[in-house]
Amino acid sequence: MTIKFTEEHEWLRVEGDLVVVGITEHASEQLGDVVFVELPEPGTKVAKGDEICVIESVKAASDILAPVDGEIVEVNEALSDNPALVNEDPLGAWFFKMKVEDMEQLDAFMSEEDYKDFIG
Amino acid sequence: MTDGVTGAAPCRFDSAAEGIAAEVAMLAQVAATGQPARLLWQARVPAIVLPAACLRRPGFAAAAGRAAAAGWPLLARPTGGGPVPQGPGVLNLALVFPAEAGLTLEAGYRRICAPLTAAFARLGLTVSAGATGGSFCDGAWNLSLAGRKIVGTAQRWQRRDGGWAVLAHALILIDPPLAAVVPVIDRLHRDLEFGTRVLPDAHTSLRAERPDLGVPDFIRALGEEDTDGSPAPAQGRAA
Repeated sequence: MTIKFTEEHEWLRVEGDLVVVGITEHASEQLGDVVFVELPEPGTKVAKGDEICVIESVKAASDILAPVDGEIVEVNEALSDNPALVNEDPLGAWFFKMKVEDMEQLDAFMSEEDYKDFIG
Repeated sequence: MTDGVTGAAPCRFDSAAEGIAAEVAMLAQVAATGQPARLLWQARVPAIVLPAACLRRPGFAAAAGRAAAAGWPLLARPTGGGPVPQGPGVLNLALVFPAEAGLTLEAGYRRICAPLTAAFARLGLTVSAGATGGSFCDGAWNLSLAGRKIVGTAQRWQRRDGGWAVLAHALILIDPPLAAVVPVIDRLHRDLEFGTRVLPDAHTSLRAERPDLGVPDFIRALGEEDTDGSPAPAQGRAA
């Protein structure tokens, strides 16, 4: 299973022709207890860098960006009911799944090892 | 630097919604230009401002109706935390700046707390950062005086080309009607099932500590500090 990481502390996991997106453990630790996640609408076409989610914690609020061009095909409604899942299991608490035509877009992102170096 | 301060007077808005909108616009501007900005503002009309997360809580509509009936309508804001008062007696400082690589939330909080701490010191008051049990919107980056909250802080981060733009916001209690609003916020906590109480004795204000001082004095004291969003000297971390 391929997993990549962005400099914005998102993880991207490839599942067939879909890319599953969440935030890293480092990001969830930085944010503290997550209390609210605003998810995008399935069917939304997004471009890389679009602000498509808002995540709110006890310490701050931040945007989650579309890491690549594509279409949102599914969102994790469980996060709406229980945002704390982001803290409990960051790698399991996915936010949305994207259909991506050009998987080569992911080549630009970091491997797990590179990401660990990135966050020091 | 864009400066929302004119002499010793803050920008005055009718509604806190206008102040919040001005902060959001500044964040977008800084995200686009990379130029830091700051704004000091007050709202004329009292309100309780709370994060969007609260709007989804069961019982929100009824709680909002009760608060409005008590003279404290509810407004949403784009930062995290809990309900806070706005209106006369509350001064807001917004610092908006591009984040250098590796900036942490804690560093962002230090950056806004440092000039405020120095301003209070100039007025003879020693404040420290840390959680203040029983205060509204409690967090590790309150500024408190002898265990009573006098400043609350929050942040919003927005992506910009090559990094992030940061809105660091401070709510400074100059002379708010704490005896009136704290019970309303406490009721909100119960109505929205936060599981925490808000107590009047957990807060203080500049006027309560120094009856001879007001908004112009605080802004003058702050004006002597660097509040352009540049990195602050290292300080001890709050718990």
